[in-house]
Amino acid sequence: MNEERRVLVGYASCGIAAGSEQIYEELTDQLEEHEIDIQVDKVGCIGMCHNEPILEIEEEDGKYTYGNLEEDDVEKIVGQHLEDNTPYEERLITAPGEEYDYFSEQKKLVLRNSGVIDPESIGDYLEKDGYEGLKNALDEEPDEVIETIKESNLRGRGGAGFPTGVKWQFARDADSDEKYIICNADEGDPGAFMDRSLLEGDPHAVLEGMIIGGYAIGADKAYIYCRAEYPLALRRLNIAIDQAKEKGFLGDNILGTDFSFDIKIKEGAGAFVCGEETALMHSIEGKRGMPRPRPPFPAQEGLFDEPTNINNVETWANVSYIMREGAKGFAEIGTDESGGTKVFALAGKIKRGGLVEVPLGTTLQEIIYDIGNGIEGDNEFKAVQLGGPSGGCLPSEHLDTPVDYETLTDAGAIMGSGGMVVMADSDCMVNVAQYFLDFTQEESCGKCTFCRVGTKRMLEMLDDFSEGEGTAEDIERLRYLADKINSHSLCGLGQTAPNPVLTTLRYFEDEYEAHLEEDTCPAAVCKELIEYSITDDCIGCGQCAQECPEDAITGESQEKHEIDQEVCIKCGACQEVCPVDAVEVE
Amino acid sequence: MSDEITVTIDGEEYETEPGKKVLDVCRENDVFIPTLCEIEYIEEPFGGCRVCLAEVETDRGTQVTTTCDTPIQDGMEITTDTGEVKEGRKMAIELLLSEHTGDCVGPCSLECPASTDCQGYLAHIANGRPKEASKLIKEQTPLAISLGRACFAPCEDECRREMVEDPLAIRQLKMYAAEVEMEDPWQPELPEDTGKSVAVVGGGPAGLTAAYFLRLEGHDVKIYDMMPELGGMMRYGIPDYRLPNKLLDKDIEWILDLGIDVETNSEMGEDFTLQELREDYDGVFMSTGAWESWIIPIEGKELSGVTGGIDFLIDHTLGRDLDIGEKVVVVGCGNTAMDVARVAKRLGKNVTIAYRRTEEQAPANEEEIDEAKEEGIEFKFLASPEKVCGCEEDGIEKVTCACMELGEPDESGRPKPIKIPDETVEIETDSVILAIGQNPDLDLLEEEGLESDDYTLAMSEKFRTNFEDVFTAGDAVMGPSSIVESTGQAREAAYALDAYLKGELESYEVPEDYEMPYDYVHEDEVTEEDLADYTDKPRVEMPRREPYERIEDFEAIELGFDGEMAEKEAERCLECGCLDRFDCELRAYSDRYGAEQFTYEGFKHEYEIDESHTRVLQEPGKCILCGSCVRTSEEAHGEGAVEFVDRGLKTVVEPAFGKPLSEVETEILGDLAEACPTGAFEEKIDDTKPGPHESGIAGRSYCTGCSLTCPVNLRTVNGRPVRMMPAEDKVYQRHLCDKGKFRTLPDLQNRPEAEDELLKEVEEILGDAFDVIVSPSVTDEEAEELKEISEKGKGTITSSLRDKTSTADLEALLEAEKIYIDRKAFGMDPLMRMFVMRARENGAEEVKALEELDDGVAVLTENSDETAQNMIVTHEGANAEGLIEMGITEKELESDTLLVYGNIEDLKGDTEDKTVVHFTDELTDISEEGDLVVPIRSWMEKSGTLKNSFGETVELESVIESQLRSNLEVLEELKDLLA
Amino acid sequence: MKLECENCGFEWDYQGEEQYYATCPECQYEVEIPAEAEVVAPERDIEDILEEHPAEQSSLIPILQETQEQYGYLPKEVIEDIAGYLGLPESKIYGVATFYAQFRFEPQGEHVVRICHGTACHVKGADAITETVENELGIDTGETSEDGTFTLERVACLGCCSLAPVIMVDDTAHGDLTREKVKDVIDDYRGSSS
Repeated sequence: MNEERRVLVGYASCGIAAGSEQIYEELTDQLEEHEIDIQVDKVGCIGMCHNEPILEIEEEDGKYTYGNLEEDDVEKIVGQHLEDNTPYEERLITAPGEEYDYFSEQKKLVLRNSGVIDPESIGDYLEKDGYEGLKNALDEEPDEVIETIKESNLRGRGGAGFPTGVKWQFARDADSDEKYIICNADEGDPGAFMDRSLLEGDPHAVLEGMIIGGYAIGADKAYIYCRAEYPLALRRLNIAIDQAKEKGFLGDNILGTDFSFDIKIKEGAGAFVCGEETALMHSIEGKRGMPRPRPPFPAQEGLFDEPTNINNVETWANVSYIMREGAKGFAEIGTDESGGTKVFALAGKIKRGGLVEVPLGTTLQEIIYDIGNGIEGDNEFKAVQLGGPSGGCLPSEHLDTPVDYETLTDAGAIMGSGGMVVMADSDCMVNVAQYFLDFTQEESCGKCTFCRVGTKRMLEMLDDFSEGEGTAEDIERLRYLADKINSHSLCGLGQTAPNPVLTTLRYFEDEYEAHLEEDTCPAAVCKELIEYSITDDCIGCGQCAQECPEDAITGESQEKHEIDQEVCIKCGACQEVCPVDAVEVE
Repeated sequence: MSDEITVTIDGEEYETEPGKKVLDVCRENDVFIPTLCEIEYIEEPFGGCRVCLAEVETDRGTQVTTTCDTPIQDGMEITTDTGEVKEGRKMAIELLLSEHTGDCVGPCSLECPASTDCQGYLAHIANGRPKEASKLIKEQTPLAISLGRACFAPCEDECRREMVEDPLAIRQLKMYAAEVEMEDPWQPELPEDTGKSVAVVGGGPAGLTAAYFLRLEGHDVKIYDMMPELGGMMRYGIPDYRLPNKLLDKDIEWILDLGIDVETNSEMGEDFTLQELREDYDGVFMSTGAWESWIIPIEGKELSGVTGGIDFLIDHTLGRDLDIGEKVVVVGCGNTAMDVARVAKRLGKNVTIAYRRTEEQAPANEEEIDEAKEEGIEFKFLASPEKVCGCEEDGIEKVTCACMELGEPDESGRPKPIKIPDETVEIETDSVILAIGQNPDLDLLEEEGLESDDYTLAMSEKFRTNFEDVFTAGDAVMGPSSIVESTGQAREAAYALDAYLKGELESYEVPEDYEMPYDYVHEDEVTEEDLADYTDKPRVEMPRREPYERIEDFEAIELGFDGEMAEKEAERCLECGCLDRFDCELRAYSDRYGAEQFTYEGFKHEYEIDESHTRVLQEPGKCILCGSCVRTSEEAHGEGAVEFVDRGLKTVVEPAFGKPLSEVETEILGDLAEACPTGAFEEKIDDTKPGPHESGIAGRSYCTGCSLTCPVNLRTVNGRPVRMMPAEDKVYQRHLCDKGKFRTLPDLQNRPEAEDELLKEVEEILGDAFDVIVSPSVTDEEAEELKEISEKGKGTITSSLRDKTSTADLEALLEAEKIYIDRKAFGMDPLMRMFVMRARENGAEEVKALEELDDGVAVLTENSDETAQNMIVTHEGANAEGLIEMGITEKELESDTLLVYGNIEDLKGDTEDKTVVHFTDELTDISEEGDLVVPIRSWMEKSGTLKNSFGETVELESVIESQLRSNLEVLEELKDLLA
Repeated sequence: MKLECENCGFEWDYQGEEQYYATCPECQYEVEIPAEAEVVAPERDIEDILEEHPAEQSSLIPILQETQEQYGYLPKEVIEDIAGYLGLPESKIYGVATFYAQFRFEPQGEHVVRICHGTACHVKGADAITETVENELGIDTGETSEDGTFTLERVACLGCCSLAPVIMVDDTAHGDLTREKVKDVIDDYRGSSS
């Protein structure tokens, strides 16, 4: 065992939420107690959220990964592993040489440093050839840089998939001596946390990409528009910016050239619509985040009416990779239409959720079953939701769809920013559509008729359906309304808000009919249509009666209990607490 | 290559330049595209309402998209009226309607079978203008006086004031207005004759109405009536105490004065036949009514003491002897039965009414039943007469009626009376009058070849009988109804006949109850609780004659309101109908695209109405969030009067912190009301009740409020100026500041009289030693005259103006590189601030001190001491620049007698010991304290030249005719007198 | 809340939700509602904050964010100061501030409970957790408890979906919650609040 040994603690927000702060404090105390002097780094997201909190030990022969740690495991790891050099089998996930199948299918380009380097040390980043991409770029002409990006077949990772090289070309061609670069880190989609993990895990990769972009289109100012709800990412970005300036990668005359570039951070103040580019720019300008018609497109007239190029966090990280590793290699990964990989936030009723980076073209089947290890508990797969409130739900017949912009759009979903929520037979599709519509109508900016009023009316129709009210003709009315909102809304939010409705109608119309014609909710979710009842295996323990917030349950001790249907609000507390599973719902 | 672009719109090719939007090109070539959030003076499109959809085909394919923000491309194909386009527009409007709260038209007007504008004429009455109220009624029906007296007023049952304390006395107010106006009624102009002629058979309410409207369309009309006088049921069916015939005659005379011939005592089938009429006339209007009494099959009906209700009333009106005994039993409880009973009472008879149902179910007006009871008439309910006992020789002894009880409801929804087995009641009587109902004399009609369906004349949905040139309306078609229903139907039938005469019957559409079939009413949503804030003002009681007194004769019972009572009652009106009813674009598009109010229903906001400002009303419930007010305030005026608050469906337009409008320090609220396409931001006319009334543009003139002379359109109602609207103009665009817009318009009707010898009196007062003080808004021509007149006096002619005029024009300001603004005195004028904003936008830099200005433009006011080489000086008076050039500036006064010309507010220094002759179009403090007032024409009624602050001469034209002589004539005459 | 009308002296107990102006039922005059909590200026007050930002509209949102951090919410007077400094109308500041969910115009409770309603949390029972917390605290989402200890809010996504369903209390997240666990979490804070 030698001095290069290093201990890494997963310290992204979700790691902290799972308890890695306590693990880190316990570790420092234990090391002090055992007088072991060893380098300990807080690293970004490793990608195995299901095993958080995580601690890894880098030895000469490779890396030992420990997961699902409790506070008292730390003492054992320090004692057994660090002192007696015998791994602490109980919490060991992988030893050097072993392959954790969760990662085998993955290909980490953008996330290669995340969970490996200390995000708050530029040194670590430089050791991994950090800023080499920038150096290569500065050696070439801006147009050559744009050619490389075009060759790489990189497309926007924000969801629309617009070819990044072409987008830069527009901004390049716009003649103005004041241009802007923007990094869209608003990530408003519920169920999406890829950008956050990337910013917390490897902020310099994003900065480097932005500086390259600035050089390519001839801009000298940039903003990162990052949600105020990401305090840790903001902290690490600020540290990274200061460090980059110290090292001459940012600020005036970068690396001795006459190219200067400055990056400022603007915090999003809680408006999902500000993920839309024109709303985002209005927000930076200190205005209400209301989108404006296009054209003019941002490349001609963007921030403060100057040419502006906006890309998503993941896109910028890919840029630094491409300029470092070359466009050809990048283009070969992925499909003919889109090069490189895509990071997905795999969550929902999945056994192994987490951050998953796969080459474009990987099928949903591989992601959910090979990487995600299938459905949690004994439920059966029903649908996978992609792209959050603007996306759609795809049923099992579409599991073989390779993940790419066009293939997903044809199937009715969208690539979106990468949210991927797996749903099982215990999820009701009408309820899912209702959930997303409730979100979008709350987040609508209110400017245009179809979205401001249309989303509310669609939601009200879904509310009726979830209570069994409505006829087949109402389903047609909903489809007719959804279709018009999709084609006539002003911006992306309104245009995609109907997608959850249109896809659930397309693949799960039978569930809608069950609600309307038979007054039943097959997944037993919609409250008005389900009834909780106690079966004969009730042992009369009275737990449920205590638990029930509405005191709807009566019965003598040791006798079978009864639920009063008038009072019951269908919250499911009794079912949850019943020791003998004697509570049925249908 | 020329950078011309060709685009095809709806198949037509158009040349245009690049850089424009699809909407601009459509507008330039009068291709109609609906828009709700577009403002022509703000270049950048908002893109919120999504109504301006059209199908646009480019190299990237075809899609239905908004035209306000889609730039044109060479070879673009645009189609503006495909099915999908209309569906998209309709849905956008229907979504807006689903969150719209308000009534286009109040429930009273909607209920009126003759579609009279109740809220409109109540407003005229409240504003003290009964004649205009009556004129407004007469646009829907010529029978204003008769309806005022005898209408059963269904509108009052719908009046929401009933949820506060009691409904409005709409009928009695109509009576007041009609009977004030009848002394000197409105004369409608007739178009030149169409050369077509129409015969109207039957001069009752339907016939008179049809004749009136057909005459107004320019046709020759002749009314044939079998009775000795016109009026039909109004004369012969309704007794004098309710509708005095001398008042009915007023209505009839007024109609016939339009040049309508009449032939009474001439009966169809006797004196002429329908076929003869069809040959002699281009069209025939059958309004023969329903005169046959309905004799129910009871035993003894053939006895001589039994008559029909209508026959009794007709004989009474004609003065024939009525063979009825001392005791009378009237069968039935409709309005006719009430009339019969109360006539019999007045003839000293002992009257009992027998009716087979209950009082609640009786069709007669509640008021009528109460008044009958007051007059001592007995009622026997649930009594159905079965047998009249008696014989031919010694007449009738009694009538036996079966007692009834109420059973299950019949198809009319009313519980059906069923006989209680062998329970009867007997009423002694000498005569029985059956006032159950009437129907048209079908045999007469059938003889003439007219087809009927069971009881009434057959009619198509466009009021046509089976003969193509014979139209019909009224009781002949509806069976016995009311005056208001007959006149309402007859109006539409007359227009159908008119369309037939002009060969346009195909395209004629029967207007539903109102011109706009889409009337948005949320009557069921208005609850008592919504109206809780209104303090109780009980209904003004109509003075009426006491029962004991009124049963002695047939004089009218109601004595009528006086002006004060009428105004007080009319003021109670809650004004449910929207003020923007005539101009609302949302309503116009809903009508055009057939948008239904309740296609999408759901959550709606409950907003409070902001009535804090005297001249502007804000109703967020009617706001469609088109952003026009916010953008006008910000982008046109650089002010933050109002702004969007909150987000999504909760967004509302409010001043800062929801402050009431009255506390917003701004002078552009009127401009925001102009920009608003609906009733959300609405201008209130300076009157007790703002109406709304349809106003026409009397003409284009200039506001003389200050020296910017902004172009205005003056809107008038019945020739009376009510509203100042900005006129179309390239430079001023569509802006007017509150000072201009909300100026009190001179009240031309109540103005001091101008007798002839007045000028002699002036000459005596002035003598030969007087000074002349001129208001800075008088025209050059008036000033010339006054100058000559001043020579007749001591020779000083002065005004409040200082000798400082503009040396630069507006164009110089807008193109200036540098500008200097005299801040302290400058705050007064929003329009000047707007021009300065534009100058800045064009690149002008504002310098802090005059020295740095070099050849820039300074904007100063008349009382700032600074001057500059290029300066624009703003003044209070509209013609300050012209007068200063003529030397009429501030000077020392030499005499104590003053000729003051123009509506100057007050004179500097004390005027107690001075004798003042004030020539003015509006009374001010000077006129009160002065010795003599001479009325002159206001700026709206005179022509003349003014010179504004931008050095432009402005031609003022008179837009309203005035009864006064022109000002120049008056001055001319005064000048000669003073010679 | 007792209000007295300056115009006609009418006094009444005002129940409505308006925050700054209420209509007097007697004479329809708009009465100004006095702010409940008088403003406690923190040591880094509005003047200090404004100094650090250029007087242009693009500084507006950062200023509002820092102001809320210091004051806990956006008092009316402070909004007026910001308008003065930036040379913008008050209505614009108010219009921008009310657009973003982050800003609030009333003080918050000592502990802020944020329940995540992201997609993953939703399918794993966020509604049930919300019901339980609402019962526990006796307030609805968006309200602050009478004694000012707790404010309950609903957020779209806290970004730790693998721990769904998640809530955050002040700055600490609590994941994999069930009805029982969330009750214990609330009790811990209830105990520790002063």
